[in-house]
Formats: sequence, structure tokens, C-alpha cells
Amino acid sequence: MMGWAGISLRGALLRVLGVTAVVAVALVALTILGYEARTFQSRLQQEVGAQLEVVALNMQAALDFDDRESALETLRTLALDPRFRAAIVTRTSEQDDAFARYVIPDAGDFIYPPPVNSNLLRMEQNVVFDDQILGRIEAYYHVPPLTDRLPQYLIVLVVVIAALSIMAALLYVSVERLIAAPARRLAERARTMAADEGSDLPLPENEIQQLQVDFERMMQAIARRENSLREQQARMQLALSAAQQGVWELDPATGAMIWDDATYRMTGLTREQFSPTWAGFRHMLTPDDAAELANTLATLLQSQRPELTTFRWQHTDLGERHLQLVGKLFVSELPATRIVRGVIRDVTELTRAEHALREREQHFRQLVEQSPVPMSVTNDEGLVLLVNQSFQRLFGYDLKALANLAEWWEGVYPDPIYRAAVMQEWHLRLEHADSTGEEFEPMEVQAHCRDGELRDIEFNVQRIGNRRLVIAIDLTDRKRSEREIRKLNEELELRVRQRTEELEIANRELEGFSYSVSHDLRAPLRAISGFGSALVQDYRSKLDEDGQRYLDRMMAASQRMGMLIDDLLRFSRLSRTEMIREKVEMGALIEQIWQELQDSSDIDIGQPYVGELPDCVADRSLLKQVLVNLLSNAVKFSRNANPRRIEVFAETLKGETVYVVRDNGVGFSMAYADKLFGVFQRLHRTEEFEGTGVGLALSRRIIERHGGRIWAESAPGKGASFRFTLSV
Amino acid sequence: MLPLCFGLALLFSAGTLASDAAQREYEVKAAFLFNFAKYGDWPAESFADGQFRFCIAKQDDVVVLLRQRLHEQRIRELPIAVTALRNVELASCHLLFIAAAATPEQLQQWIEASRNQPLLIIGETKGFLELGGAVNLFIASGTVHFEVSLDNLRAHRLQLSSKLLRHADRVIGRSSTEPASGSWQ
Repeated sequence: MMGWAGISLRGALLRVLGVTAVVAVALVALTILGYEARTFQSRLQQEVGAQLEVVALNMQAALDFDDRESALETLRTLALDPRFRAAIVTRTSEQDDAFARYVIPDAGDFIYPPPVNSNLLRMEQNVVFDDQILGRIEAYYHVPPLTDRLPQYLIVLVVVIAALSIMAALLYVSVERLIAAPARRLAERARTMAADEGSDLPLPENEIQQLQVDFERMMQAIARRENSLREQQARMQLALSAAQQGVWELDPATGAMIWDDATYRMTGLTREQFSPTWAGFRHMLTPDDAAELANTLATLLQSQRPELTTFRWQHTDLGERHLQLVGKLFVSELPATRIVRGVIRDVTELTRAEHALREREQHFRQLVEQSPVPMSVTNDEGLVLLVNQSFQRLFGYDLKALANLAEWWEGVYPDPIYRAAVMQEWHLRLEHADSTGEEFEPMEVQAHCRDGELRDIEFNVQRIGNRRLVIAIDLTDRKRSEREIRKLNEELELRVRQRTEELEIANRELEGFSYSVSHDLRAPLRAISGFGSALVQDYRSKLDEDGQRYLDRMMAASQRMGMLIDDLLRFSRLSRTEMIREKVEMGALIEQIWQELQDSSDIDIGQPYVGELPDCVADRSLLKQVLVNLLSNAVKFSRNANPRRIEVFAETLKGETVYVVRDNGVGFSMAYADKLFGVFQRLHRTEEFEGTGVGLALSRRIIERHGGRIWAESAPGKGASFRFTLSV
Repeated sequence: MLPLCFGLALLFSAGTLASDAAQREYEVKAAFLFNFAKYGDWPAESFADGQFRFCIAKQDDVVVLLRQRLHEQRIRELPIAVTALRNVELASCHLLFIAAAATPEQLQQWIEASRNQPLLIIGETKGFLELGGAVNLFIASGTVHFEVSLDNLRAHRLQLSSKLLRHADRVIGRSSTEPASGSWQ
């Protein structure tokens, strides 16, 4: 760094100012002298020229009329100027001879023509009349030499130098303040702006060079920012076009506007049709909208915040639209401008949607208002927005009374402990529903209505957007009926229990009685049958035919009585014996029973048709009794059928396994079906089909003990089906 | 008294007068006539015919001298015509020079005839101003002198420049604009 480059701006400025001041003073001094030297003559010429012109005017007639005396007289007037020395008038026609000549008395040494280097200034003036030069006046004036005036100029020069020095000093101070200091600040600011552009480089001493370095950094920073700005702008435009927004600008001072293509599209106008101005734009709106727009602009110009307004717009193609204008005032200092910029967008769909929403909300409100179910609507802040008539009827509180929720809680739950519990539970459930998205768990409370009545209420809460619909269901009446029903049920159960106990006792007594009866009947019966046999063996031949027939019938009756007693005993023993449950293979059991039946029969009973039979869990011996009964009945009642057909199979009825034994025997009328399973109930005479009438009663007893059911279907001559189930 | 030099006569090269002295006198007078025309002020409407007419009575030599002297000259941008009075109507003249040869009756007649006409009447007869003339030329100490009657000038609606009046030997009557003075020095 050489010469100026290395010096600080302050030093450089100081030197510049010093040199400038010296040069300026020298120049000024020279200029003043030169000017003085030059202008002294010309000033003299100007002054004297005027005098000579007057003299020339007065000289016209003197020359015309050859009046030399008058000419001399006229020349003499020039002597009024102290610098005047001599004057000569010559005629145009007689250039060699002087027409008149005048020399002031104290310039006796004047010689015509005077020498060139004398201190005399020569002036000439033509005498002209009607464009004709009549003659010429020559006048000579004394001009003092420049040296005579020098001391005067030196004083002026000293004063000027002093003034210049003072000015230079002042100038330096102000330049330092106006240029160097701002330059330093500018450099600092530029450095701040380019903070991330290699700020660790050493800085030169000179402020201008610093500024240069800093500006280069700043340029890089600006270039980078410009790039990012451009990207931002591109994104912005994309966003704007994606958001279907137009951009406009307004100069509030002139009302001139700038619209972009999107704005024109949105308004349906074209650039040829409409060059945008604020007034012109407002003119196209309805008076209400225009006033609203003017208000918005006024607010916007004061507040400097973004403002928006929506207005109706008649679009040439699309009909009535709703447009929204958003604007903000941008104020810049340099140059001082106030520009409103903003966007415009078509909010027709939005507005219509809002309208529809409002309508729906109105419907919803109406629905709530007129619902027979008590309802209220609250918002998230806990404010009650709506209370329907049923709610008011139920609780006696209207919206005014509910504005203060604390009053509601206190009024409805006067007991502070209960109130605290309800409030806690209430908020807990609300939070749970809000956080999990589940339904609000209905909450039952006892609420005091305004008239003091205590009612059972179930509260439900449905979240609808940011509001809550609270539904109150009055359970008071239902609760009362429920309590009554429960009470009735309890009484009924008690009675049933009592009756059951009574019945069981009676049953046990009855069973005990029949057992002891049966048991006690056996001994006399044995005696009858024993002595009867002896009578048949020993005395039968001694009786006549009638006597023998009577004896045979007596013996048969006693045998039959013995069988009845056996059955009765078995029947009564059944309820006392312990059940042993085990897995039973149905198919095998049927096969075993059939074999036994065949063995004890005098005739061939053939083979049954056995279908699919699932296994079961039951008391094996008891189940065998049931199946023996059913199968022997089937064999018995189908003995006249030809061919005999007996089926055993299982079917599924409502998920339950049903075992079926079917024959093609005589059958029975369903009118007697209820008598079928009673003890000693017979549908056929003993003469037709032997039997005691205990078998089916016994079977039913066994099935019931297993928790199952047994029933029969038949018609006379159409065979019979017996079905039973076994609970698992 | 102003000394007038006959040097003026150098302007006029030709001469046809009988004697040299008389020729030089009329050469000076012709130059005077032209100068009176230069320094005079006529009403604008008097130049309707587009020329300035000098009329000379009773002295044809002056007509010749003026024609030679004023060839190609103009007065108020107008071409100049010089004629003997006998050849034109008095009404078309702007300047009338009546030489000494005119009788007092003729003089009287022309002055009477031109009353109210803007006509500068110049003579060379003693008592010419009192007869109604505007300017009178006379010889004194061998040079041509002149005297002016402002009243007669005004009667003909004319004015003469004060520059000229300064050189007159005698000015009588009152100027329309300036206070009266008997003589200009």
C-alpha cells in the first residue's frame, strides 16, 4: 500500500483540504488581481463610453452645420471627469484635420497622438446620424498603474486567506462528521450485513478500502440473499397461484392501482376494459360494500395492520361472487412512499359453505330447542350457549340463570361433599372422553331442581366440534318402577322358595311314604302269592273249572302287583341314589341293550336302524334304564307292524344334541301326550300291551336329573318319536 | 455667431453658377436644406404619396445641386424628389425653398396658399420670418447662418430638433413643449 492508499480517510481528507485551501487562495489572489487589472479598464471604458455617447449625440448637429465652436463647447463637458486628459473630433470627410480639439489645461505635456506605453486610455466614439457616420471622437483618459493599487489588494488578500483558513477548518470538521464518520458507520454496517462472508480477513487501514472490502462481502451476502429471496418469491407465487389469490397495489395518495393477471381473472375484467383505480373499483360495488371498503381502507391506513373485507361482485361469466380483499400499508422512508399491497381471493364457495353451515347450525339449534329430551350446549370454556325448553322445564333453570355455572353447581348439588364428588367425576369423564376419543360414559346423579325436587338424572355428553351437547335423561320414574319391580321380584322369589321348600318336604314325605308303603306291601303280597302257589299246586285239581279260573286270575293279579311294587320302589329310590357321571359311548350302549332285549324275547325282534350317535356324559346305569324303556316300548308297540322299523339317531336342534328313538308302531293321539310321562298312566289296555305305566315316568325323572328334557310326538297308527336331551 | 465654413461645399462637386462665390454659397445652402429635412419632424400622414419632395422656387441651380447631392439618399426611408416649384402643385411639397429672386407678392401668395399644410418654408430674404416663413438663411462674416420661427413652424404642424435649434442665430416664438427663449447659445 503506497501513498494515499495507506493513509486513513481522516488524514487524506486533512491533506486534501490543506492543499485545496492553499491552491484556492493562490487562485483567488491571482483571479482578483487579473480581474482588477482587466476590469479596471473595462469599467473605465463603460463609464467613459456613456459620456462619449452623450457627447457624440450633441456633436451631430455641430458636424452637420460645421459649428466648430459648439463642438469645442461640447467636448469641454468631458473635463468634468477627473481622469479626462484630451479629446479630438474629426470629420469623416476630413480625417487628417481635427474638426475640434480640447486638452485640459494641467495636461500641458499632451502630445497628439500620445505614445503607446503612456498611462493614457484611448477611447473612440463615432458620431452617427441616420446610419451615416458623420465623424469620430477620440478621447484620452489617465489610468493609474497597477502598482499604485497593490497595497490595497494585499490587504484584501490577507483577509481572504484568513477567511479561507477558518472555512477550511470548519470544512474539515464538518467533512469528518459528514463523510468519514458515516463512511466508518457504513463500513461497520456493511460488515454486520456480511457477517458470515469471511469476516476473519484482516482489514486495511483506509476507511474507503475497508468500505470496499466490506462492500464486496456485502455484495456476496446480498447475492446470496437475493437468490433466497427469488426462491421465496417463486414459492410465494406458487403459493399464491395455488391459493388462487390475486395481488394488487394501491397508491393511497393518487388512488392509482396495479392489478396482476390473477386479480383480473378473479374479477372477470380485462386490462382493456378497466385500468384499475381505487375510485373506479369502488364504483363497481354496491353502495354498502363501497362504504365498507372505504372504511377498511381508512382503518388500514391508520393501523398499519392487515385488514380484510368481503364484498359481493358481479362477475361477467360466473354471476354473483364473493371476493375478499386483504391489504396492508407498507411505509418506506427513502423514498418516502406509502403503498397499500394486498391479495384478493374468491371466497364464494367458502361464504356459501359458511352460509350452509349457519343454516345447518340453525337446524341443529332448532332440533335441540324443540327436542323433548332436555339438552344444553356448552363450549370448551365452559360457557352455556343454549338450553332447550325441556331442560328448562326439567331443572327450572333458563339460560340467564346458567350464565354463572357456579350457581348451577351449587343449586343442583346443595350438599358440598356430593357436589365435589360429582364435579370431580364429571371432569374426569370429560377429560377421559376428550383424550381417548371414546364416548362419554353416562353419569347418573341426583340433582335438585329449582323447585327443590330431587330427581335422578343421567347425563350424557356428545362432543360436536368445539362444543358439547349435554343430554339429561330423567331417570326418576324409571328408577321408581325399577325399585318396585325389584321389590316385587324379591317377594315373589321368597314365596317361590318357601313353596319349593314346602314342596320338597312334601315330596320327600311322599317318597318316603310310597317307599314304606311299597316296602310294607311286599310282605303281605308275598304271603298272598306264596299261599296262592301252594293252593294251585295242592288244590287246583280239587276245584271245578270256575274255581280254577278264579285262582289263575288271582295269581296273575298278585304277580302284577309285585311288579308294580318293584317299579314303585325303583322310582322312589331314584331320587335318593347318587349320580355318577362318566363318558358314555352311545352306539355301544344301544348295541348292548338291543342284545339283551333279543335275549329276553321269545321272538326275533330284528335289527334297529342306528344312525350317527355322539357320545355323552351321563350316569351310565340310569341312562341305560331310559334307553331300555324307550327301546322296549318301541319293540312292544311295533310288534304288529310289518316290517318293523326302529330307528335310533341324533339330531342338532338349536345347538343342542337331541337323541331320537322312532318306531313305526301303533302310536298315540297327541291329545294324551301330557299324560304319557305320569306315574301309572297308560294309554293302552294291559290286555293290548303289557306294562305298568311307570317306565316313561321313570325315564323322565332320570332325564330331568341330568338337566335335560324328554318329549314325544306321535299320531295314532303313525308310529311314535321319543326325543330327549342331556345337558352337558 | 457661429463660424460656418464653406468646406461643406466639397460635398457638391459640380457647379453651374455664374460666379464661384455664388456657387459655393448655394452649395452650403443646399447642404443646409438637406439637414433641415433630416432634423425636421413632419406629421406621418403627409407622406401618403410615398416620397419626400423638395420644391425650389426661383433658383434652378439649387434644384440641380440638390439632385446631385441627394442622389440615392433617403429621408425617413423615403425616396427623395427634387423639383422646381413651377412644375408641381404646392400641396405635394414637403420642403419649399424660396430664393431671393422671388417678389414679396409671390412670397405672400405661396405662404398664404400653404397655410395649414405641413410644409417647411425656407427663405433667404430679410424679414422672411415676419412674412410667415419658418427658417431664414443669411450671410454674416462670410458664412451662412440661420434663424427660426417656432410660431410659423407650429402653424404648419412642424417641429425642428433641438439639436438643430442650438445652432440657430435667432429663434423666435414659443415652442409647443419648451419655454420660450429669445436665443440659443
